[in-house]
Amino acid sequence: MSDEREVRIRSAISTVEDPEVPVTLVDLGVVREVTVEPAKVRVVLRPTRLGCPARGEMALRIRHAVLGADPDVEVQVDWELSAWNGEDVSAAGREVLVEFGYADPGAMDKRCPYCGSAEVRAEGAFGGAVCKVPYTCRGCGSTFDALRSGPLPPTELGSGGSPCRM
Amino acid sequence: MTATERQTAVDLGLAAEDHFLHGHLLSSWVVDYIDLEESLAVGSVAQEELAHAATYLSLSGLDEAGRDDFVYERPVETWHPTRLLSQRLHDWPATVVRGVLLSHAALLRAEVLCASDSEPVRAAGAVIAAEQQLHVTHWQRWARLLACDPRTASEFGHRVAAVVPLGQDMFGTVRDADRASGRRLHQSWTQRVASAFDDQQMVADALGAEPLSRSAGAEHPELVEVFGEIRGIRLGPGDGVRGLYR
Repeated sequence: MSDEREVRIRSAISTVEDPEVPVTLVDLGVVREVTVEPAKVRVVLRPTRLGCPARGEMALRIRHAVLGADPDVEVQVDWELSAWNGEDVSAAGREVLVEFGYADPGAMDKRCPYCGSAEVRAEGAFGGAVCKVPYTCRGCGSTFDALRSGPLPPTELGSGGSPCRM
Repeated sequence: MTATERQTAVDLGLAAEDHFLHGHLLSSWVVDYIDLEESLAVGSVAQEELAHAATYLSLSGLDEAGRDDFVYERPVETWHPTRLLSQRLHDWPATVVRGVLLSHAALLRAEVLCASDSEPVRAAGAVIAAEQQLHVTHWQRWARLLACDPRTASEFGHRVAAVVPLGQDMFGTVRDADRASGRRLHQSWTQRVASAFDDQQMVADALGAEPLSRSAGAEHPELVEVFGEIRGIRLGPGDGVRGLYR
């Protein structure tokens, strides 16, 4: 009975989607830990960026999912202070993201999700959300987003040196 | 709470004040933008500044209600932001100079926190340092663009000369405690900041060898006005904007 309850709760959590990106929070690597106790469920999440405005909504969705599986349990959602990166995304998550027009977050080099070309260019360091970096494909002309992860994209932004002595 | 923990909490509170005010003041550029890409960038930087403020306040032991009080209820006399944030800067070149100064300070502070005895403080320092690196890069790119373009170089030089001295109190203390630490941070920061500008000696001279003490927010009329705006959103008939959504 208890195992069945735990499976139900974990299964409910595994269906919760990110409010911004069409992939589950588990596949996105945001859900880091789930602890199911008789009277309490604790879920630890890792934000893609500290300033992600969807954090409240994510926590709410997790809470609703758990309560949907067990209405009487106490739900505790904690955010860990740790840097998210593309390697946190599962293989299934990577597939879904590419299917929806995002760069593969686990790939070493950025490629166009539409034509597969590696001739892509970051169009600045900031996109439509704090977690996104906009790219253009020189192969097919498509624009697409990559989830921000690891070092800065190669946009020639440079990080040091005095301004005009380059 | 030990004396060291109390000092850390005070320092984190000061850092949170700067991050919050920078995020708030930057947000005006989200709609008054020079181009769409910059609007997105400034929106993201502002958003992350607010998040870093919230993170520091959480580490100081404040829960959601405490963080709310810190920003919306605390008397302006108890705020001690850097003078860089105690007045409005009305144009883009000045905003860029301020961004360079603040992002380097934020990065340095976060790097220092990575060596804290407290695991949560270390973890926060690592994440914030990684995020602030992006801000540093962003503002330095703008500084380079404005300094190197003959159409803007002269005006930008004037803004550097006017804005940099406002950062003299960046690592200044409110009390006399731990002046030595403030001095060390000031010197490291000055070196980093100077390297971002063409006239490095002028920048180093303008910041001085020692940090100035921070003064209370109430001594800066423009800051008092800014707080009036911020709090006007929350107070008044129907509790301002919040009331509309209840």
